[in-house]
Amino acid sequence: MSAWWLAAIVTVPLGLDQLIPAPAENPLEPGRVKRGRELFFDKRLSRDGTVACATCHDPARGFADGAARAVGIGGQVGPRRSPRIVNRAYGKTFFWDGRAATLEEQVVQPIANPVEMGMRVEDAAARVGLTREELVRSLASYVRTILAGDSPYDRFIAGDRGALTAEQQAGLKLFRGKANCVACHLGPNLTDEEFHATGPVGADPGRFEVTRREGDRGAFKTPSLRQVAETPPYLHDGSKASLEEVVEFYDQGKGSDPEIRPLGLTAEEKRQLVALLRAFTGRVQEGWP
Amino acid sequence: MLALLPMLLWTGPEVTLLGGPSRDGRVLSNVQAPSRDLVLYDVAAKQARTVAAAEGGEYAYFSIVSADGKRVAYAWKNREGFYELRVDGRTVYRNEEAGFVQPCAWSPDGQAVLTLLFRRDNTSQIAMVPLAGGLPRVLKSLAWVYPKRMDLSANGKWIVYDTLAGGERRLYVLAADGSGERMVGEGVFPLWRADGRRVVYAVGEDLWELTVETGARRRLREGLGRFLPLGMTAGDVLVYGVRAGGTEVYYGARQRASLRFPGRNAAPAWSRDGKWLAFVSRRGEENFGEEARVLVVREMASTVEREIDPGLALVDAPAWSGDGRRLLVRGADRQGRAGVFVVDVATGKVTPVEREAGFEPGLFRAAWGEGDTIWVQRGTELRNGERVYREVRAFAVQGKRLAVLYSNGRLEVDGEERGTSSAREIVWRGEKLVGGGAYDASGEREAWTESDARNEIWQWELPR
Repeated sequence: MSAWWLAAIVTVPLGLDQLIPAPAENPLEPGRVKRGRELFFDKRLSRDGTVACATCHDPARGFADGAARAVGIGGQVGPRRSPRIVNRAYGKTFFWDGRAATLEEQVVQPIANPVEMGMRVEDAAARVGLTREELVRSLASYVRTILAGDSPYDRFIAGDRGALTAEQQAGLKLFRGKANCVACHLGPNLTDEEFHATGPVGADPGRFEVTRREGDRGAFKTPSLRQVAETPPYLHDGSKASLEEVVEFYDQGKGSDPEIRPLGLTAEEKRQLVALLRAFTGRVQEGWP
Repeated sequence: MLALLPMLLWTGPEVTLLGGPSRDGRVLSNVQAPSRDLVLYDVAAKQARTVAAAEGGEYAYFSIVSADGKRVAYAWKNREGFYELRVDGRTVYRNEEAGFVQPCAWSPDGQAVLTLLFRRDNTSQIAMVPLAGGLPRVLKSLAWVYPKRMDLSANGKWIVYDTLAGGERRLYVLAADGSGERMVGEGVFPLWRADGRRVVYAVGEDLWELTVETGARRRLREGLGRFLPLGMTAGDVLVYGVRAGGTEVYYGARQRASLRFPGRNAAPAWSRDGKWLAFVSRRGEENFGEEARVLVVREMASTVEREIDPGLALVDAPAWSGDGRRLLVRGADRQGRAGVFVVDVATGKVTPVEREAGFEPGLFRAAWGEGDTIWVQRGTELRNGERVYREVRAFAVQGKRLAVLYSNGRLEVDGEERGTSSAREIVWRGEKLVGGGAYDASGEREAWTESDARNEIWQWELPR
């Protein structure tokens, strides 16, 4: 039998589930969330004191960084772009390739990664006067409270038929039908949390690096589309500068996933889809309310 | 002390399994067949009283009776084509984006209803719907899967539900305030016992019990048949429905098309040369809605049958291509997108022709046209390439020949008026149009589905 999953009763933005999953070993507590928030912005967690979690996951940039590739200590450039980390409380796996199964596993890896923050986690914890365990729990707890919702899309889903413009509603029809976006982007968080090779074909093995299954080569986790308009560039490699470019790319249907095929979208339909994507921008809340 | 034997409460052509008992066990809610009126059935008097009468295409669906037995919450299919939640004739939740609702339990204070909402992207949501107005409180969302049953404990603190996880139906207990959840076992159709500590549930045709705190489980009864728990009374009496009888495919002089899986076969289709018969066969546990269905292809000369599992959540209405290598079906994929699909008979490979999230599979019809092009009727619109017909009720294609039956009853054959018809469907039998059945190209071989399915409602006082 699995452990209880516990969460404090936090008021969540419209559109999200009331249940915020958290492991029994790390229930959401105000003190831990507050400490995690301080740590999230603390550059002492990086070897040379120049990089904090918030460097790549900047609240002012939708908890991403606006760069095509993540930049770590000493100006080192990582292989992928920094993902938006809103609503990760509801995630099932973490990182573009899903190599972490929990937020507790996830939050320490950038600290230990020599390209990102370059510290032994124990040393980073000691530097801020914590045990490794408390560092992990606190950071994970804070990340669980970064929630985005209450967007025009959420209000439309909740029944406000005027929350989306006619153009956005046409985009939603395409999203669910002809454009087939809903094959991967669904539910409150607009992601299936699965892995698909829908993006540009490149040298990055993606999920294959974790599973060693040939079918996972080039597959990456479906990102949530929440706040997507705020967080260019796009795709795992940051190769698309705008939402228009992303829609154009998927219209061509070049990915190897079986769901991908040329869509034959008209110029108007592309505009409608982009308009819808902008309707996924809502209110972001973080920390203990 | 020996538990009493199960007792039959109600059966008949009018009984569906879309309701449940009051807490005192005196009344049952039921959506009558075929009228779709919602009634309250007095168990002792054996009399039904209409609560909400279907009219003008609007009708009731799932329903639950309040603890005091005086109120009924129910899903109501409205004129716009989606379901809203009503209580005693008053709409308490109406949202096209959550176009299917299933009320499952009343809160102890009677102020809210635990309801399953189905979003148009095939996400199901466990929600408390306040009866005084305001937005539902969504506790948990599930993508592409949904609980077959959920229930609220008598103290209103705990929700039990089942869902597919890791390929198995698992049971979860969720705090009604959204503060926690845990998986407690495997099974389906869970209901709380009156003590709020134990859950009863189904595994196949057996009834089991789980003590949540300890994880202890025991089988309470074997061999209840194709049963669905409907509700529990305050006296720990389980009320459950049983699907009795079934559907079968026949051909010729009423010969059964298959001797395998009796009572689970339907929707026959002849290949054009009459050498093969395809039909749909149901597998797995009893269900509301989504069922495991396979396509069966039978070679009539040898009687050899082959099963094709297309990997679709729903498959229905197969039709053979002219070359006998493909089957056109309607249904829904496992991501809930309803539509029309082509299944390769040799490989089972599925190719979508048209699919859309949030659309009902039953509103699609499809047929092979000339040159194995595909005609698709989506709602009332019929299309084949550039050819579009609107306000269509039914259609039939045979080679170049096209018959269109419009919503107003007007029948058009090959572009010419042919009077009116009240038929719900039309098919070609050789050169003639008929109102149903399945035929080969000559029109001489016929196959059809017969049903003796009926529903029964039983009760059983659970052992302590």
